[in-house]
Amino acid sequence: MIEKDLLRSVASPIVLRLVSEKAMYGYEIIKAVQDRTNGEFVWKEGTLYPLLHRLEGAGWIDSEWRDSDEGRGRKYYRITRAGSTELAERLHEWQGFTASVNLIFFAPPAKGRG
Amino acid sequence: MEAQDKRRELAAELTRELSGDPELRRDVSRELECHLEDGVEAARRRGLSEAESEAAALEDFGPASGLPQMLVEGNLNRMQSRAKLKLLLEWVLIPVALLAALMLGGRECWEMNRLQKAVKPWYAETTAEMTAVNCPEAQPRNLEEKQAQAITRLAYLPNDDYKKALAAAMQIDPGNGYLELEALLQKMKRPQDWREDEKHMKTGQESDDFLATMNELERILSSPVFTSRREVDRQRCLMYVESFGFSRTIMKIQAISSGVSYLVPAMGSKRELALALGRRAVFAHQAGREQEVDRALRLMEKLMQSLVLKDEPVMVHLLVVSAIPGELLKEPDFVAMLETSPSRQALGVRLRQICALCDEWRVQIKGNKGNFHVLLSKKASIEARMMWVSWASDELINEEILAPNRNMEYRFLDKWLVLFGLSMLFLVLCFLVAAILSQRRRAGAFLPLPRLKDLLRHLALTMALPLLIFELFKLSPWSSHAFAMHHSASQFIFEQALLWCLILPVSLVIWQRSCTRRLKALGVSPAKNPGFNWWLAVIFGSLGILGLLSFSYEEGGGLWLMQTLGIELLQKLAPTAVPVLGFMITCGVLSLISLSALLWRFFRRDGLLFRLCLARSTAVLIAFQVLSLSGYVAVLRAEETHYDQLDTTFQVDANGLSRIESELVRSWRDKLKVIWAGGDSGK
Repeated sequence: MIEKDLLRSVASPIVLRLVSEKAMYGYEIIKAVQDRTNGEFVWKEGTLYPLLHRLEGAGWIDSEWRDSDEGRGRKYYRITRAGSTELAERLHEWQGFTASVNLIFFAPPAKGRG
Repeated sequence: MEAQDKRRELAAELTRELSGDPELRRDVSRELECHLEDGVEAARRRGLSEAESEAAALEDFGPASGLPQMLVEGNLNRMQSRAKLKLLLEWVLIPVALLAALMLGGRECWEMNRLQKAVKPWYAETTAEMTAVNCPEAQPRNLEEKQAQAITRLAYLPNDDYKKALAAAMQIDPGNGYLELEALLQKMKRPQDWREDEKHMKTGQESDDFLATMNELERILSSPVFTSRREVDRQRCLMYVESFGFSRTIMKIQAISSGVSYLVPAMGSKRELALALGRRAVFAHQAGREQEVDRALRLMEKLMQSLVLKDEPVMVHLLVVSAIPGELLKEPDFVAMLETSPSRQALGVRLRQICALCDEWRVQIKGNKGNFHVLLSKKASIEARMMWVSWASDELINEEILAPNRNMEYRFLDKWLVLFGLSMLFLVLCFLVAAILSQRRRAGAFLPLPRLKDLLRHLALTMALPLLIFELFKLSPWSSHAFAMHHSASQFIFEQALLWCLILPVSLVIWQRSCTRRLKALGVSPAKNPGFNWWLAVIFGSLGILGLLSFSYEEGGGLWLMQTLGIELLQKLAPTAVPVLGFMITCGVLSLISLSALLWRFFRRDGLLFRLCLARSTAVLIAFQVLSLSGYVAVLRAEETHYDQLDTTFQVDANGLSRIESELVRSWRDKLKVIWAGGDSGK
């Protein structure tokens, strides 16, 4: 079980990353996260929708109601230009962070002088 | 309870904390509902039963506790920005749009109405006098009275008492020979009586009155001051019109048309007097009174000289005076009389030279019927036609010179058409604001806010694009603006009708569809369109036509613009007025029917929510349109000023003449001076 705080910290970049690939609706995002993490991440609606709305409020994603193939209306989200910039920054930040953490977690222990 | 209702109920419950923004709540609630539907659908695909699918979807949805609060936190930014936007649109945008329309439209209409009322009497007189000068054969019976009114204006007094006015003018300017001549003409028998005198002369009878007239005329013509005070009157006209500083174009046209009233001076009586003097000489010659012959001839020539050399002449002075010899030389008795002494022979030479001058001018004007005539009929403007351009030669006028003036007048018309559209939108906006205000306090009502980018896209497509295309088209050689108003009136009306049909009705229809889509996305189903009520449309349309017609024919309303600007235009259009009016009425009917249809559909959709939604969104759209059109009015006004500055050809000089008339007068007067410089009586 992954720590909640850790999950929360990566939720925004994950959503930004997914909707940067193509416009997606809420249910689709949840399924995509689940599929891509081989079931490791199981998001509930209580996690996703407040996050989506917050990101939309920040202007990083944009939404649009569209008819699906089945004829039902769905709200699709897609990344905005500001969102793309934010995503790039967050990915860069994440790479730096994981590299640093990996250096500590997986590097061979430093040999003592004595 | 149906499964769908259960889902809706759950979604509504989860979004209860968002009730401060009903539209946002509806949006989020609908999204959660759709999510549950997707969950049910997925479970169904896994082979679960209906009940099991519902249960699975709810289970997948996760715990509902805490979600309402989380949704509030997630939407806090959106709620705040939406509240600000709402405030901005309702309390800033709409009032600003209303104010802009009021200030622009109200001010222009008010000023125009003032101007219309103030200068209306001038037009009737101007038209009569212009007709008289341009078509002498069609002189109205009361021409003399009209001409007398010109003097009345000169004397700064009302039209109804010519003698009083003239007396006042003489008091202001005592010893002015011109005014004394006017007084003499007033005291004398009218020209029609002189014609009677001519008959009497031919039958050997004599009029003693005329001898007295000659004595008085001799005294008057030797007066050192002989001026029609035209300059003073011109100043008065310009000052009078300049007080209406709201439109350069209308000011110029008014100034010139007002100016024409006195630039077309009362010449009938003077011409008749000169002719009568010539004929009196013939009569005296036949009676053997040679001294009286020479006196009459001298007075005739001196009168002609006074009118064009001592006074500040305008084209009409020169034309009328120059036409006098032509009329006399047609009479064999007069020609024979001129051969009876060397001095009379010399006079005959001068009179023939003046005739030759007129013939030369006629040939030139006749020559103008070629390309120059085509240029004037197709490329001139109302103002140009008032400025005697058609009497000029192609050395003085060309298309380049005519263009700024024509463009200026078109910009003025364009601006007024935009203002007309603006006033229509203003009324609709008032109505929508009233609808919004009346529904604000109703519980549960929500009025979706239009998204800014949708609005901007809509405005760009339905307003900016057509206007841009229209503006670009105006620069092309096919545009009505490339031709004179009287030449391309039908095309102009068609272009404008097309533009406004694109901008207003199409814009509203597209916006209405956009609103419908939004409602559908939010799960609000508007009631089925009950269809188009033709009867109501016919009633609306008929009322509209009646209104249009009453506006057209009542004083100061509707097509007053045509009345104001289109003296020349209407004259030209007279033969085709019926089709043009028919076309305009057809356009009006079609627009009114479309508008009625829109209003009808708007009202008949049963859902209160739907109506309110349209009210808010459409109000914002129209507010944007009003502001955009206000900006367009400013652009047109700037263009009008720009073309006015470019148009130096028709600006009136210190003598009250345009450059063209000034050139014509100068050259003609110089030629007359040369002719008279060789004669005794001119000295």
